[in-house]
Amino acid sequence: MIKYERIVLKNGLKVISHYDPSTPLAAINILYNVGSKDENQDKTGFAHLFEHLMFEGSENIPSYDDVVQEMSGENNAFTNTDITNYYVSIPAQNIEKAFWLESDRMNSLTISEEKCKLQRHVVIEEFKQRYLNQPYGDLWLLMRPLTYKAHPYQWATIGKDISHIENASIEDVRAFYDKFYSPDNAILVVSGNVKPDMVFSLAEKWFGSIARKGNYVRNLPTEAVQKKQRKQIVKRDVPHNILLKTYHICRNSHPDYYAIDLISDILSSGNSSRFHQQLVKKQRLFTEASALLSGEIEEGLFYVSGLLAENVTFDKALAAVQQQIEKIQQKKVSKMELQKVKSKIITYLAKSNLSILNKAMDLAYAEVLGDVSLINKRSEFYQAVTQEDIQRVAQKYFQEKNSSVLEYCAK
Amino acid sequence: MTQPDRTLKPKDQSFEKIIFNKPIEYRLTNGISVFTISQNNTPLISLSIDIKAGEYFQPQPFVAFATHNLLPKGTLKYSAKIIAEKIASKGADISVSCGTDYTSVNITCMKDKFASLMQYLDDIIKHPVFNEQELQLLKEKEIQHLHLKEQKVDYLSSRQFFKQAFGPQHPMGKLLEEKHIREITSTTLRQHHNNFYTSNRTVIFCAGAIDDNIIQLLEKTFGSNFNGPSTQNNLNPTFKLSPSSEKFLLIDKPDAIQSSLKIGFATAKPNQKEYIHLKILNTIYGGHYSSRLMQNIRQEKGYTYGIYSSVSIYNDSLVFLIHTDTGAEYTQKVIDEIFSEMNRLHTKLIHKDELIATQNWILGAMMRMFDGAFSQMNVYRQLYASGLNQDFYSDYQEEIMQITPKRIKELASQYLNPALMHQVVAGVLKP
Repeated sequence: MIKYERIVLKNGLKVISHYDPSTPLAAINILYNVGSKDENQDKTGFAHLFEHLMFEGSENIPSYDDVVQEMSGENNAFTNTDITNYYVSIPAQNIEKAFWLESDRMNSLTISEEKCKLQRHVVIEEFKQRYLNQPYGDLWLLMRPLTYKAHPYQWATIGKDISHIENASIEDVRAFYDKFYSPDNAILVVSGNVKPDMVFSLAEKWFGSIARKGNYVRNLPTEAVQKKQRKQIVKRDVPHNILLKTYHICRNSHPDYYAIDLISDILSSGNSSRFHQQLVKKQRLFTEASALLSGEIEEGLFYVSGLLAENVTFDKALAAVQQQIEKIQQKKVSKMELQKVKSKIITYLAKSNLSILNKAMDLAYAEVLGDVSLINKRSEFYQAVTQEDIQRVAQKYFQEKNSSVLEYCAK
Repeated sequence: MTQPDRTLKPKDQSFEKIIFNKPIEYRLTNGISVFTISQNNTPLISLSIDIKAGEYFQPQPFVAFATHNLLPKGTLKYSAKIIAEKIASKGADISVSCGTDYTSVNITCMKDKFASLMQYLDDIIKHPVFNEQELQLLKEKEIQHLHLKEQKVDYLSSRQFFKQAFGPQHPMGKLLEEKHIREITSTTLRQHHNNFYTSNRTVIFCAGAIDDNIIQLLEKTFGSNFNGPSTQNNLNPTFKLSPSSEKFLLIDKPDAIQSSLKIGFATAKPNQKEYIHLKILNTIYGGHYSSRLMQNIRQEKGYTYGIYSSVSIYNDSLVFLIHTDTGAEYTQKVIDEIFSEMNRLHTKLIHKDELIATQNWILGAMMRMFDGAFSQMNVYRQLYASGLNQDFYSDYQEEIMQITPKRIKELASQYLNPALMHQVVAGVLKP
């Protein structure tokens, strides 16, 4: 159970405090409710490029990193399709400085042509390092547009193409800041050795006066229901074949989500899982195979991916995966098997409560999902999933016409 | 609402000295040390059984890795499937990992499940059978992984660096090849297990919701001698460093759009104080986000997504290593900047403010490393494996406050010496 208190400032900033006196540290996490799904399709990769610019100095703080270093902090950030999330962990006694630091860049970021040019370079190197100069690095760059035809999840957070980043202008960057980096589009969480009263008064002092900027109302194109399986075959200079198959699923906040998550564990979590026992060990079709959720807020994906064993054809591999899917759909999972995957999740949740930084991020994420109290309901939701639920959601979502297949072949 | 005065920087409160919580040591009847660190606000227990049977002690590459990997894949009493089923049904996670010195079996579970897992751990460590089918599966998987890694410039440059810096006969410098994987037999693994997975090479670390009952369970399970006697004479061999005389090596990948760079050297392990001073020097040079390499090469020039350096201890050696991936067109420029930053440390004393900022960052990093029993346990495991004593971090805290700019300059001239550096580039080098 994670205890927290929550207030909303007049400018719309949501502030959540979790007090944990067992640590000398504090974590401050700011989540901006903007991800690559909010980008224009001709200017992708922006949310992430912008994340880089947030470290390039603000009105009263020319160097963000220098301040983090002098207050013994450590910070980082990430961007995904849904959110941009910033965090810093510091000795708790330095908490006010962290408020000063974070509020200054929300209030007035310095955006210069020179810094923008520099971070474009850094991001282009990141694009090359992680997506282009890696075997299989472009797997999801291919899979997303195959799976989505209307929804902006069709491009990856890094962007569709390097040229989008090369062409990012300073005007685009300024407009992005004004549109999305507004207090009413953000969630501030402090966890660790700082009492809620202190958190709220510091929030009021440093963030309370920041004016609302834009008035962004999210209105994303909806993905039409898929009617036919899609398939793409690519050949690349890689050592082995990889199979990737996706199914559209529900939103993260939908009750079915928990059952789907448990199915992914039944299929591929650990050496006792069905994929490992059947596909890897017994049939020897894959060297490794996994079933996962994309974990996105809006209607996301359930996907199966696997590295094919030598001399195994894609048809054979696909048929074997299909057989596993049908088994879940046709035969009720045993009580014991369901209990096994639930137990693992309970341990996992206990583990994630060990770190104040994790707790801060989880609280912010629950809030952006629409209800911070979700943080303490997750284990109940998993426990509530029945054998029938597993079968029902497998039938509902894992239909061939709702799937897309990418055959990534070695030349 | 009025704005606060944002030009006024809130003051940091002065740093209290960090008190480093130490583990309690128990001795089992056979002499195995059990180090425990309690934390009462969690239902979890984490246990690591560390055995001195890592890559240093293997007759050829892949032996240590394959041996530890197959531990939970079938034992005298239980099949691989039963072990996986039973452990998962308790909600526990088991993982095995293999380092240069130690291999480990780690398990994390809820406290009330701990006792029921002991019988499996017992058999996993003492009586693995090295089943042929499991070995075959592992070989296939690892051959595929090797093929995959061999396409990554980061991997290619890294393993070549270790070969250059240690010499091809040193266990750190021997390259893993497909034939090593293909040729390995379960007999070799059984031998390695029998010789090295013995009680007198074992140490146990345990963190979380610990009580007396847990020590009793460990005594019952691991308190009598196991495995051995060894058939090998010298179980703790020493190896000589024989670095290559070639200081520069290019692994040509004309199609690569980025090059991966490794620059550094290996030398004998220094004394503890010198090692601490080196860690401080490394922090300034390339050891964290605000380091000189990162600020210059990423933040000012935009040549890379990241560049770091590290100093680490492997058994009786110290390795200093700079690593980065950079656009092919910038490779030479990055190398030049790396050396010019070394030179800057040789010729100019570090400014007081930069030293203070470094001190603050290191102290903060130490606090984070010691936050909670589980993190502390990993710190003490690391110290133990590196042969460093438990006071390492309190000594480090003293040294960081006392070190002078002059000492840093001296140390830089000695260690960040271009003549010592092996340079390996995997990718493209344009003049």
